[in-house]
Amino acid sequence: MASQNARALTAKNTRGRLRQDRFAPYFFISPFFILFTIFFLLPSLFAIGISFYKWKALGVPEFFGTRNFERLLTGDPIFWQAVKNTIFYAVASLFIVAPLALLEALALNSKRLKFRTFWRAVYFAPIVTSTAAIAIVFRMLYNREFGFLNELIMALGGMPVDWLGNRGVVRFSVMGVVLWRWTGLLAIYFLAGLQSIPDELYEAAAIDGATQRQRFFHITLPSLRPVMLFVAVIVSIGSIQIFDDPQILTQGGPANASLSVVQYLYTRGISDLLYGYASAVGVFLFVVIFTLSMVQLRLFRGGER
Amino acid sequence: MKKWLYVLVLVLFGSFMAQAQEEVTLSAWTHDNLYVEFFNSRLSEWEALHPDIKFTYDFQIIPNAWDRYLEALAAGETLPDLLGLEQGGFPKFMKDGIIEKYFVPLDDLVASDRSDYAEGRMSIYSYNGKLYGLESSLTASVYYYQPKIFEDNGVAVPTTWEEMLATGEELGKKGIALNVATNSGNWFQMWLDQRGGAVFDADGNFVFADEANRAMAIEVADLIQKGVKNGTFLVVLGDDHWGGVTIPTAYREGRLAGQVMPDWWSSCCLMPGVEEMAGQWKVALPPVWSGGGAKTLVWGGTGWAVSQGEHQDLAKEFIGFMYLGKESQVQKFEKINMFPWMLSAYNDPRITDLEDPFYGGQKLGEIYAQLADGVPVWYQSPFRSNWSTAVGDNLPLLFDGSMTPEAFVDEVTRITQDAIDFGF
Repeated sequence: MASQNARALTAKNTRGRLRQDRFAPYFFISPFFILFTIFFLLPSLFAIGISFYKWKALGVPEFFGTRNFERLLTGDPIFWQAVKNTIFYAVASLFIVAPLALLEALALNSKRLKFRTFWRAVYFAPIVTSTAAIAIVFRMLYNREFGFLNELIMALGGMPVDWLGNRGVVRFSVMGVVLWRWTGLLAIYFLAGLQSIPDELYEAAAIDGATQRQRFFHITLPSLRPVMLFVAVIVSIGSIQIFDDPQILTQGGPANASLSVVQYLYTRGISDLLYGYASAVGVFLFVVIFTLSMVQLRLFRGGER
Repeated sequence: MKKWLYVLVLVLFGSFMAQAQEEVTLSAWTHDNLYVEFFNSRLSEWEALHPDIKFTYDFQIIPNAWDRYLEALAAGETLPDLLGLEQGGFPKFMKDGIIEKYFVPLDDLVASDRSDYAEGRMSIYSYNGKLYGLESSLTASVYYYQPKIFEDNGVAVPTTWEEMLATGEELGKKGIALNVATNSGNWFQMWLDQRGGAVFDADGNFVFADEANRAMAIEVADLIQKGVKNGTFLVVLGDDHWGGVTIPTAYREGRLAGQVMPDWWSSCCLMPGVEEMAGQWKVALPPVWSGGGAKTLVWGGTGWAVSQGEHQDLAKEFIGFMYLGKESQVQKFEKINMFPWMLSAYNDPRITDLEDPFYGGQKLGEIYAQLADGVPVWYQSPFRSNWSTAVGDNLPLLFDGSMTPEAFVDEVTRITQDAIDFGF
């Protein structure tokens, strides 16, 4: 009887443990999902819902149907100006900043480079520099009347450029800041990828008589494919959501020539308190980023096959 | 023994008195510590008026405080008793009936001597015919200039905008600008108001496109465009106009002679920007329009509103005590350098006789005394920010000549009307 009880108790404990074991993983991952639900999922669903309303934070939201979206897509030239600017930032980031970061990573990974740690720290420094300091320094550099860049251009016999006031130039000026700020971080990602490529591959290729160029295109680049996918996704999402670089430099001006979509969302939502309309901009942004990420994922996966 | 008994009686009496005092905490939010400094400087006077109340003060400095009020309301929180409110933030409260639901009308505070206060400083805090904010400063503009530049070049300080344009053309050839042009809706509006034009009427209707206002707006835009083109105005865009290096460097290098700006600009921006140039500056009456209009231009201003709540009567009395009446207006000038918007305060020698060393000992009060009754009257609207943004967005196109003055005014009208029609 005693042994029967003991067996029953053991079985009960085992069942309890099994149940515990079954729920333990969920318990451990639950903090993330609780926070994710509170701070991302619910606000996102709320934003999607409110995008069909006219709401100015106070008072009762008024159902607006698809009018916010209709206006956004067909009757809001400032929004489309912001879209054009954002596409420019995204394309430039993807095809200029990312490749430059790869070149930088190759240089930092070179065994012939002396003081490698120092150089890596130097390239990483912009990431930890305060936004306010960046704003002050770059505004001084770009200043039309007294800026260092124009002083240099004039010393070389050129005409001064209105870096922040000329609508045709201002986006390039913003990209200058983007380039300075983010190349170092992307280079760190590439560097991590480069360091994970086994030396044996290069040694074998060298024995087979592959040139450096062939090694780069046939070993380095294919091996970096996962990192490149990661960087491409990060850069695309980051540049579509670009906000602080144009904000600190130009506040989106002149005449919205450097305004990004997120700046526009911020203006409509926070400054004008048009929560419904700003949410419609947010939903648009979400759809674009989601679609783009899926396309990128597919493209790279297709390449892997 | 008897001595101890007295002490005991005194202590008991003291504690009884302390208990008899009502305890009140007055809270205030503002974006600028200057106002807190002023309030603190007069607290003992205020408390002496209320011996039956034991006050505690909760004064908070909060950037863009007016946006925080809206967030507090949206979150169901209570507002502070006193709300510092920059005039540009006021229209946000005109939407959805917020003002009437949460703010206290202040008309009775000025009822007895309303005509002694600049109407233009009250219209900007008015809604449906009631006053909801008390202004801090006159905000009248003057011409801050470097006399040496004018003397060296043998030209007189311009008294009209047309003169400024002509003198600017002459000095522009030498690389000297006389004033600054910036891409701000408020900046353009101060010109338009001075000329006599209006954006919204007293009922909040959009009247910018009315025949007379459109003509004046085109006239203003035309002068600005010509001034930029001939070098009278140095174009300084965005934040650079406030905290950048362009303007102070241009002053130091003698490439910018001065700027037409409001009273508060002297202590916030000019003096800290070029401290080492103290004594090299003068103030003149601002240029006027040959075609008519007001004596001066106004830009900015911060008012104080009172929120509905337990202490609304005390809060209202507090701000009335701090801001209204000749003595308060003069003290405000003496302590935080804000020029009175009460006209009779300019009879006080503490204002008119004060010599300012930054301006070579000039008596600035004498200049402002000539302008106080000439402050333009203009009106707010829930759609003012739409108009202001449209102006700011399109001014660079006016500056660089890619838009005619007519096209500029019509585009601003179209954008604003579109926002009104959509219900922004």
